[in-house]
Amino acid sequence: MQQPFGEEMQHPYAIPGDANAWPHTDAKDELARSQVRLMWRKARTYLLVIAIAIYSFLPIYWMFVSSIRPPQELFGQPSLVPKSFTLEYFNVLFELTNFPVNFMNSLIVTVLTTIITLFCAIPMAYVLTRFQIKGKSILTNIMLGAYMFPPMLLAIPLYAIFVKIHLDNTLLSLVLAHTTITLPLGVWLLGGFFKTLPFEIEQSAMIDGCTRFQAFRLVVLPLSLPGLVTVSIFSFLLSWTDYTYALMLIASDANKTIPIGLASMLGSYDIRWGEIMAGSTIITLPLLVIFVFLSRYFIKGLAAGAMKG
Amino acid sequence: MREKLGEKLFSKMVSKRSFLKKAGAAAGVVGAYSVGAPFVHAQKRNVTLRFLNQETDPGTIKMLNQSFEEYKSKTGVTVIMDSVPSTDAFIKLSTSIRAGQPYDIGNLLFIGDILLLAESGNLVPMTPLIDEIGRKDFGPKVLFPSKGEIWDYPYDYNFATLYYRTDWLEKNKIGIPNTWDEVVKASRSFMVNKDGRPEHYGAVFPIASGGATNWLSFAWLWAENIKLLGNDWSVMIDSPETKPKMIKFLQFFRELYGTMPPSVPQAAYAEMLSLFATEKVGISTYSGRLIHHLERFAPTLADKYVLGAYPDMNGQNKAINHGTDSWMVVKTKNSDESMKFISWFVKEKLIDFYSTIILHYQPTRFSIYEDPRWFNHPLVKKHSKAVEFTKSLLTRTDIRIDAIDQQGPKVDVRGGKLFESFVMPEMLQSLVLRKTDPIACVEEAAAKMRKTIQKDT
Amino acid sequence: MNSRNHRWLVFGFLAPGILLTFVGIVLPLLYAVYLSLFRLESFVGVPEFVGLVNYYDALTDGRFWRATYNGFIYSLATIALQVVIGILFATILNESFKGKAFIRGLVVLPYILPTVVVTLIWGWLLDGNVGLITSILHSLGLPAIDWMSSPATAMMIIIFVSTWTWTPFVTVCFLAALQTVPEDLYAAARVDGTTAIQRFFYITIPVVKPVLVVIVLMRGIWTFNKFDVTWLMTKGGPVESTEHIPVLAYVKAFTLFDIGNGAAIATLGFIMLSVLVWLYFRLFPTED
Repeated sequence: MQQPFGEEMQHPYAIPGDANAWPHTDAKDELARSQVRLMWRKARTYLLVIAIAIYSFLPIYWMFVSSIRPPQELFGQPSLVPKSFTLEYFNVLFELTNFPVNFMNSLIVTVLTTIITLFCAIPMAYVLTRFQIKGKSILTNIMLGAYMFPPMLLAIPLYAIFVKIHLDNTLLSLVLAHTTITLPLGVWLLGGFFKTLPFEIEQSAMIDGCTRFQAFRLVVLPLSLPGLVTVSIFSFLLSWTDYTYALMLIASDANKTIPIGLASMLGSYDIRWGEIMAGSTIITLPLLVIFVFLSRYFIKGLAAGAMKG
Repeated sequence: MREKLGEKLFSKMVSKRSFLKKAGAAAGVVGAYSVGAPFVHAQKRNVTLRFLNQETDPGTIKMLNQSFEEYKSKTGVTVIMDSVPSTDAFIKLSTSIRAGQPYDIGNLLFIGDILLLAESGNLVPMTPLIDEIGRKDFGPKVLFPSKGEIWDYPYDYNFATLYYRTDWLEKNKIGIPNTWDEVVKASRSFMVNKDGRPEHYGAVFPIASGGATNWLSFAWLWAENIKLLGNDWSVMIDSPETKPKMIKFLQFFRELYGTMPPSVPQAAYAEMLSLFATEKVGISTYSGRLIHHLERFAPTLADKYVLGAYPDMNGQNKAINHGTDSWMVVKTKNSDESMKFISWFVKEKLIDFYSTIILHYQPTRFSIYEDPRWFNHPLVKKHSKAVEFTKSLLTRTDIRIDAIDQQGPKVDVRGGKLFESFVMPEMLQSLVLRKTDPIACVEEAAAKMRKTIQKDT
Repeated sequence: MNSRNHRWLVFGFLAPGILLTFVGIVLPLLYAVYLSLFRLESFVGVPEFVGLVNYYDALTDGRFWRATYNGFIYSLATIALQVVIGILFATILNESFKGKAFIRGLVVLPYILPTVVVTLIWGWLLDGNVGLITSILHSLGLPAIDWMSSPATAMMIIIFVSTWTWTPFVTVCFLAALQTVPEDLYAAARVDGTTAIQRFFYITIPVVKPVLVVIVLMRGIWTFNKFDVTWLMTKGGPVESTEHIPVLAYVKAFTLFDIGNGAAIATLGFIMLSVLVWLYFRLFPTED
């Protein structure tokens, strides 16, 4: 904070505390007051930030904590920190349901979906932003159509199509179905990202002797890493948590994914909150792990996509 | 230019198809890493039956899987199971038929759905198996012939009965209620406060729009011999004879609601079990599963309950809500094998199946009750009074058995529509949540019912 | 730019996506619309061609219009809250404080939770007997509130839960936009003696406006059609008070044995949404 008056303004006859003292004493008070104001502002900021953090995180924390609390504590007086721990709910889940199998299925489907999404979305977004294509808006609008229809009504004809090409009840059919949901979002996000990269970058690479494709591969792609990470995370999320397509396209217990597994656990009638929270924790854990490592990219990519998309 | 592009796309599609097939096979292998999930189309030599199962209890699923293994080692026939919650079973079954990849064996709980499938020519009659066992062996209201055939094997009853805390009744010196007023009185007496907050409530009955409410909250009406639909499918609840009874019922339910804990509006199956087991209420309702729940989670209460049927207004009649589950053979190229499997299962494995939740899967055949493997089961012996009561429901004439989806002159889809439209639960919601006057509730419900049923008749 | 090489490149790059879109979206969509022209009880039934009768039935059914109304309430309220809270949070998080990156990570967490987990967590927190919120209310001497019991509070809960889980997306976007504003601008404004509120409206808002436009569109489409949250929490109840178009379409098609009608409702919803999107682009044209 700047002093409005410099040292040179000190009056030779000034006495500290004198009401008639020269202005520079007010300057000191002014400094003190503005420092106090700064402190208040900082305090207020911290308070608000903590409030936001609690609002966002407490429910998630509660889920974790509830999954390891013994039943008496779970249904008794609530406390922030559990007094004792138990793994019984997780044991019940693993014993009585097919969780490990469901987990592997979900993992396979989700990873493949992410890969195929990137495989389709990257070129598509690139071409749509770098070239003038006739019918570009028609294409994007149709892709948006995937979001505008109730998934159940799309899942059933999709199932019939997969039957016709002998892919019903396979994990691959689920991968393809998921990609139809992740693709529009991926194209949109990556499109936004590519738009932030000026065409000069490829031009200079091509002047240096690259083909268009090489320019794309060697220059554009590496620069789009945050965008790629964002699309990957979104695809992972959408695929990992899908219920409707998994319900309709998978017709045997051994191929089921986690959301379906969880749902049939809920369907079994004496379900209890402990097991539910344990199941929720298991579903959430991989997402959290990925997120912890990639959050920076995710946030950057998301923002860039939104800004220019 | 556009045509050329289109042409190119379609030709690409053909070659993509064979690529997809190969990729599909690869994915099938990937998806088949775990036991019991062969990629269906890769198996041409062995017969594979696809079984749609709606009993999601883990013990039952385990038992079924063991039976499949046993059957496979005997006959080489593989059975692949798809377990889904009962609400999704009909959708999956009908969609699979439509898409050309029908399940071989189905499992449904609404007779209306089963008859729908039968009448559209998608089922293979079970009559030979049923007649081999003998129709007399089956209890009442489980065989529903259509066009001279029986289309399903009904394997259990799910009668919803009332449960009372015997020790609380004793403490308050009340007997088992026989009239609606006595029910309310008993429920009120159970309510206890501690430190100014309610510790115990009286009763719990669901009101949310769902199967639980339809199953558990309306046997009071059957006790009063109320029929929702007449013999010509007309709506009866606002007729001159029935309307006053409906109004009285709603008034009674409103009183009863005052003795129920909060969160009843979201309560469904699980809460009926948990609220009774955690001693929050002294009156609940369910099939035998509640007893299993007590044994597992509240063993001290396992001898402190008594079963009862739903009484009517004035103590003259009682009723139970009906429920049943069946297996069916779907018309596919594997129908013969499917029938063989079901016959084997019913003859060899039925009691093992029942044993997974012995008090919940109430047998539909008299001979099962006489089978030592059944009646010597420790839980059957321990809860002999309850078993006696539920067994007696098959033969006694003083307790009525009815259900919402079985209203009308015969069982068909219209009863199912009535069930799924949730008009009755909505009537209760209107009554206690919107605080609508009972007369208006009945009129609202009648109008809704007419709209639902009338679309077809 | 349109030389031979490029044409192959373009084509090759677009083909997989177009194929997938055609098979995976266009075909099912066309089939669903096709279904809406028939009367069909179940998928094993014989479809009876009835032309536009299903549409007529839907449009003359009060339940359809109530669902439309509920859908608008749900979307508008959720979007509005997301925007307001999102901007607020972004503004606060834009300040400098210790642990900024960590807090920002925390704030995004609700967004990456699967919907089913979100509805379960909040169902648990709000449980009228053993939920944390209920216990807190008890300790404050208040009675347990039956959130899902009255139509008004049920809708509120759904709006709240939806907002809780989707706002982080908005927060992040706004945060990014805000970070493009140089800090000196705020400092100078402060020195000039503006209040926080004035700074907010004259600096912050104009910066986020373009982002806002895109977000409202995206969230609007998303929310209007969002089936899961409502279905998992209330199934459209109590007494259809939270039932909006996707829920009604599902109920009609899959529980009331009226597939044609359900498909018609879904198609009508699709048309409504498309019209709104078109209107929106008219009012707020983007360079796309």
